[in-house]
Amino acid sequence: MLAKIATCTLNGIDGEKVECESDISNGLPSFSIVGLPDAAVKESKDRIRAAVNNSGYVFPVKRITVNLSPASTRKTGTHFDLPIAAGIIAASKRIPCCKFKGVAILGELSLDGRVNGINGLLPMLIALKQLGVKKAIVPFDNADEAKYINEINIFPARHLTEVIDFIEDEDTMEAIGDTADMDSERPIMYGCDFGEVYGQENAKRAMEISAAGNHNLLMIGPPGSGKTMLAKRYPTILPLLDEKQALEVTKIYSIAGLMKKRAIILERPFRSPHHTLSSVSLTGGGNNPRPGEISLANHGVLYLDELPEFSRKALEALRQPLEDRTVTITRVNSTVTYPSDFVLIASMNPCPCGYYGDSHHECKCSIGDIRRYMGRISGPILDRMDMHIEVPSVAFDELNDKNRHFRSSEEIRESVILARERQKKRFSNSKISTNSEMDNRQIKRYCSLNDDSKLLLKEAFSKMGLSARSYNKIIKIARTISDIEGKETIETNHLMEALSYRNLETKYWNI
Amino acid sequence: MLINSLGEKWERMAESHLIQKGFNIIERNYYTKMGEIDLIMKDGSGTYVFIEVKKRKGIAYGRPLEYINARKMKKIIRTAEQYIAENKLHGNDFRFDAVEIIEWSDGEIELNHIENIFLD
Repeated sequence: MLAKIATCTLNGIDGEKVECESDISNGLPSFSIVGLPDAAVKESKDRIRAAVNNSGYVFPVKRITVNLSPASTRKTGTHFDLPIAAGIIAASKRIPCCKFKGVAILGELSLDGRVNGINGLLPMLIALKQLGVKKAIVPFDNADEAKYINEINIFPARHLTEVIDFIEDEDTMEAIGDTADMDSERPIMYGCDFGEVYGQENAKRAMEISAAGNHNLLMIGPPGSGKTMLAKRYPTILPLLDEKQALEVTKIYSIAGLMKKRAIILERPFRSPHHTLSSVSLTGGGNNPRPGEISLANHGVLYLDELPEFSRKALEALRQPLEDRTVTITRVNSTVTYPSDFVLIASMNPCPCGYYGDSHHECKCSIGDIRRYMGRISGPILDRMDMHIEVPSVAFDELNDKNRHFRSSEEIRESVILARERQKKRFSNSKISTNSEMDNRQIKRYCSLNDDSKLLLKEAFSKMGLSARSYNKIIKIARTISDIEGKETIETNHLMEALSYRNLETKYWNI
Repeated sequence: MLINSLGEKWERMAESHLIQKGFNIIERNYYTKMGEIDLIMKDGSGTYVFIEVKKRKGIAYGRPLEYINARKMKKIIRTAEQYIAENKLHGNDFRFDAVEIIEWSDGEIELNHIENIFLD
């Protein structure tokens, strides 16, 4: 007797439909799963047998063959338990195949037959939806993730018996209600605000520009000057994700198992990995590739605190994803591409003791120490950081200036959103949406400079020893500054401000 | 066929226990190059049952069943396959059972029949 049930597998962030065929025939008792299952799927054998027996069904003492077709793609994950178990019970109870028509089943089993939550439910449901599946049984624990998928009826299951009853008689389970509206999600509480940062106006301005145009930002300053404090508040000035971005971010979080019972992620991700991380955990990888920190920071912020402490291998691995905004991981088993469209915020001290150039402390480092320390940030990485700013230590008077008003996150966010809308309008018939993504042709088209500016740039180019890349980056930053100010063209003062964010190389790297 | 009078006594005991349970005896000590199956019987529903009998004195060195390891299972399965092929029994239902017999130091005999000892 044969049973066929639709399910899904993941390849990168995209799902692929899998047909789970269970055949029970006479012969020596055996239970084999074929169709390139990985270790986690092979283990499911033992869970399935226990779950079936403990749910009041009899695990057939027959020759059982389960095929996961297409048999040529590798299957990973624990969500095959439920379709396999349901297939075996259905085949042994001789439930006709037509009863399954159109139902996809996903879920992990507990030994007592309860259905456990799985990773990657959202991307799999999106794939099934695109393939025309109309009904899906999913783990009750994960059902929230399915809330934003329309055109597909979602039936949350708590126990194996529910699933079997549902197959035998469709009225036993209720589909979850109409899809929810993303705007109805409660407003996000960040728990911190730029208004709490006293002083550091220059750094705040740089963060505003960086947030408006998606420009990478490097902060250099002595310990305790507020670099980390500023970076933590960076997400508070970013606009919320739009619907498409939210689904994309949620997909990756779902695969990485970071959803924690949430339905959707609407705020921009902020990832601040510790500097001991390996290059693989940064870019993603492993035998069965998993997304790394740069992909988890997709559409959000990757914050690298104490940049020189990161291993050289990890830092250099950032080069290509920073340019391409995707990362392709190739292993023997598979090749996957994850998105990595993030803005990189980094902070560092100017020397090992931290006080080089500080007005209050004496730096104890030798020139050699400083050169070695700064040399850990290679030229190519430095070149890819669009803006370099100094975050000096704060004066006492500024810390105690209770009367002064500092711009709150909300005020800055409003200006960021306006600037981003201007960019979106400008790029409405191209693929990009922010200034930092412009290619050479787009720079030529959208960033015309007046004669004064051209002269200024020419002088700066030779004096500062700029590379072609940093030349483009300066123009892009100037474009963002004029967008914040609501100007159509780039003016000379915009360009001058943009140049001021690139002048630290000589101060710290050429000593 | 091996003459093993010691084992035979316990195998007969297991056999009569199973007959009481409604099994029919088909073959005793089926022996091939690959190994031996102590008892081949048919249960009430017509399933062929291959039975391994294990007996120990006490459980100081583990229960008798623990001595049926992966290697022993493989032997039994291959022997069963040969039996099925020889007698052209393909298409029937099959099962592997075990009977463990413990002879306690006070002379008491404990007999357990375990159905379906291995799968896959």
